[in-house]
Amino acid sequence: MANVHIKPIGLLDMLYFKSKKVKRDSIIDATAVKELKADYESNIKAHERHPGNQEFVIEDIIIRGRGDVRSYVLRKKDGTNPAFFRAGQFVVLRQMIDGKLICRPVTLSCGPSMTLEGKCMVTVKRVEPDGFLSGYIHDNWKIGDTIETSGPQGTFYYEGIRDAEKVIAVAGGSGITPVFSMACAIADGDEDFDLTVLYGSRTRDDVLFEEEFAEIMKKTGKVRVINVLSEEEDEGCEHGFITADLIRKYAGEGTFSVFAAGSKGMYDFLDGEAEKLGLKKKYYRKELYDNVSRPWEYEGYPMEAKDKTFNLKIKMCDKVFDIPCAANENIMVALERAGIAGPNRCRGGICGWCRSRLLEGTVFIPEETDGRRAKDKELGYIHPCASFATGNIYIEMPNRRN
Amino acid sequence: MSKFDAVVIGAGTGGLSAALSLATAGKKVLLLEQHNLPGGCASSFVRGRFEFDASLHEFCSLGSPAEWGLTGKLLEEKYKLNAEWILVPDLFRCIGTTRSGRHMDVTMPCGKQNFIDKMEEIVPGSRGPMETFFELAEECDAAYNYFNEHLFEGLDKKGYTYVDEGLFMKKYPNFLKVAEYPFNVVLRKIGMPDDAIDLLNIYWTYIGTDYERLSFVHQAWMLLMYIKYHPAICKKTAHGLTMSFVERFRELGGEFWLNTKALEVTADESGKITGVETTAGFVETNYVIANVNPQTAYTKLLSKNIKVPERELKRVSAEKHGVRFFNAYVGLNKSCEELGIKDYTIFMPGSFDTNVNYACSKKYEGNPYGTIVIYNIVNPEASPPGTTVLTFTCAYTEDVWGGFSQKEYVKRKQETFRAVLKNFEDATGIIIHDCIEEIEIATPWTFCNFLGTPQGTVYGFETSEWDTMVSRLMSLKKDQPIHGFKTCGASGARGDGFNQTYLNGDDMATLILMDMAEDEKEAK
Repeated sequence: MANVHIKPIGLLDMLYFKSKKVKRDSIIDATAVKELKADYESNIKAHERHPGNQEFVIEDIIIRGRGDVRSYVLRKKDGTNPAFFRAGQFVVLRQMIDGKLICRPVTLSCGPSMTLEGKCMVTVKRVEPDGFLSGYIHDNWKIGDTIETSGPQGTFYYEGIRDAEKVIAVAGGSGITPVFSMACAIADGDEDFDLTVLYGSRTRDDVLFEEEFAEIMKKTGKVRVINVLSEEEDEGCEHGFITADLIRKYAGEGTFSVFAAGSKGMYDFLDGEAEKLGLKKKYYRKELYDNVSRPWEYEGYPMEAKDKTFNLKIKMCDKVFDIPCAANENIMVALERAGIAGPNRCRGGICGWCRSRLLEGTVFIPEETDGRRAKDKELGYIHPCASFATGNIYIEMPNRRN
Repeated sequence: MSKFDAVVIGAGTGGLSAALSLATAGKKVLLLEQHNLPGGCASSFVRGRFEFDASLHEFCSLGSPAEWGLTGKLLEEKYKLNAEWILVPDLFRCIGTTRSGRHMDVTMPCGKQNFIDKMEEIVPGSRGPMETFFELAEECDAAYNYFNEHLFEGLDKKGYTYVDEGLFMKKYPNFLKVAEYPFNVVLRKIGMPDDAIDLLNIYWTYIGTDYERLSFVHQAWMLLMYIKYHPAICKKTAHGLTMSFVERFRELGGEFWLNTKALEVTADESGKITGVETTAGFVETNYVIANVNPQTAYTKLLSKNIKVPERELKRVSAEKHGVRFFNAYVGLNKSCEELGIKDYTIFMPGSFDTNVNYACSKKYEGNPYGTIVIYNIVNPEASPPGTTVLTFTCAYTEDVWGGFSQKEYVKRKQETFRAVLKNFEDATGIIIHDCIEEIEIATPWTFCNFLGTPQGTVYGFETSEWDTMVSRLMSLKKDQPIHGFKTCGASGARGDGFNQTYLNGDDMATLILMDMAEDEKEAK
């Protein structure tokens, strides 16, 4: 080494090196002790936007449709504003029922700016027979009750950088809630795009948010709603299913994005229509499924597992549990039934919040709800909310915190 | 109640390395992570048919089985990780106007000779100074390696890391001469032409201090590592790298609890550490490493019984929070071939003057520095066939996003992205705005949410003129004065970077092992 000889950089270069650490110490010594902070402005804003949980008081209940749909107007218990969100996002309801924590995502059915008035709204449709939580909510939640949710979650929202300026929203039944939120956001100036809603209901009496939509359409010319009734004909409404032809009729010329929110059945039909329209993936976005169920309806399901009940062994930190796990229900539901559900959010296999390690056994994961990372697939990690036991299994799950 | 030899709080890059280092030494270790995913920055996320790497694009000092670099040695030889690496063939393309007013659009290659030749072609007359530069960088590398090997051999009378000055004078005199001077001061002294200095300044956002203040050894060593060994990425994103740590840690009997938050590091009345209170209950231990900023540790984590020495409180008060980012993760529905993309890393410095860039990074308006990384160029499997996955990055050095309201936040994200995208399209002629299939934008708020660092900083404390990497390493023990408790990560001595934080985790594990040995000796 030392083949190269360079001119001195300053006076006494060696001393400069030696004294550097000492000089650092003298700077430290000369510093007055500040009151240390862990949280600065960005930390506070980030926490406001992404709270782990929000405690609400039910301020009002609005009964909709045939009485099987209820909106709950919520105000934060501590008096602060609910987290701001992007129209179309959901929160996870966290409800203790008989000592067991049950979680389900529910769309925020209001404009984001409502949070600045200290309120937000969620809408819950009573689902029979699977809707364990929705039934409980309808039967039990009263004005003045305290309830708990997560912060806003999900990626089903309009993004001007990515989506076409014209959006055809295809909503089925209570799938209207994220679309209604988007319409509110346009009226409030939080979003800026052209929204045409093709709203599929069975009958006129099933249509939700009709008055609210009418109000929005008075405020802005950027929103219009077309009711599409499958079981009756009515004036001013389309009749039948939401087909490629119908979409084309209302989309007109130019590029458009399709935003779809509804049931698996609706998506299966709409996928075919999207193909007829030649829609690129970029222009076709679906809200994730709520609580993936009926695994046998997905391709590749091993039918011999159907209707069976398996043993589920689960490790959480230093504790191990043994519980039954019905093949027909996703693993997350089995954990909820046993009262030991670990972290979970979207319930559609996508967000990865329930990410767990499969230590033994086999599971079925529908391809369209498989939101796992490539390395996790390789190492045998699963998202229990979209995985179904096909034999006895042993998993390790992150600790639950509630 | 569970009892462990040591508990590591936080499974970011520093924490994973600390935990694995202790497990490698045969200790019974519990690793805690408050999220349900390990890795901190070394992570990935899925949107539609794309998996985005949260941060890894140029791993430094990996080397190859023939000759591991400093971090390669740690990961491959000591930890025996099973990570799948891919080397980046070219260093970077950069497009901009130099301080001398010259428009540059050049691609710099890896390999010392290639780099010198290319530089001579672009900046005639730079060959001599470039050769001198590499001589100095190589000597710094050798000295730095020696220094690292002997980092824990003892302290001098004043409590600094012991350095055999006689040996350094004899073997590494130039290191002693140049190491601690600012990078550009040394370049000018060796007669580097201005345009070449500008090109050698291109990586400034990787450390986040302007090059009139950043020490020579810090930047020269990093540049040499990239040129000599190639930058590297992981085949299945940084999450793949993180999981190789987790797998190895488990193999060695390590216990790993996710979604478990450490609430308090407890201590008895004498200040001796007794355990960690967590959301999953109390765990007993006398040794804790926390992968958090010391500011967070001292305000939120330590029991009141633990008295943080005055000098340490002064040190943390004197530090400045380093770089935090705006990152846009973009999935395109066209391939690189269709779009005409050929480069992996593209730098678009608004100015080549790092002083100007540093000043701009303190503001929201007019922060023009953008780095674009197109993963498919290096890893064809980075996204499905017919698609491209890329990231856009801008750096900030102050809490400029903190002033925005909830209502305007999304608009700010979009406006920043559109500005960087326009720069990119204008400079390269590559048009991508109409083929964006997925996009996710992270801002300092996002990093606050996921990392929990003060101001959302990713780089820990800024390594500046008074607070250099070498002087921090000289003060390693002084800066971690609490017996049985250490902090690790980007806020540690080595600063930011995957390589640096992995090394720092190992450093802190070594300090904890020394505390353990001291206590054992005392007990006897």
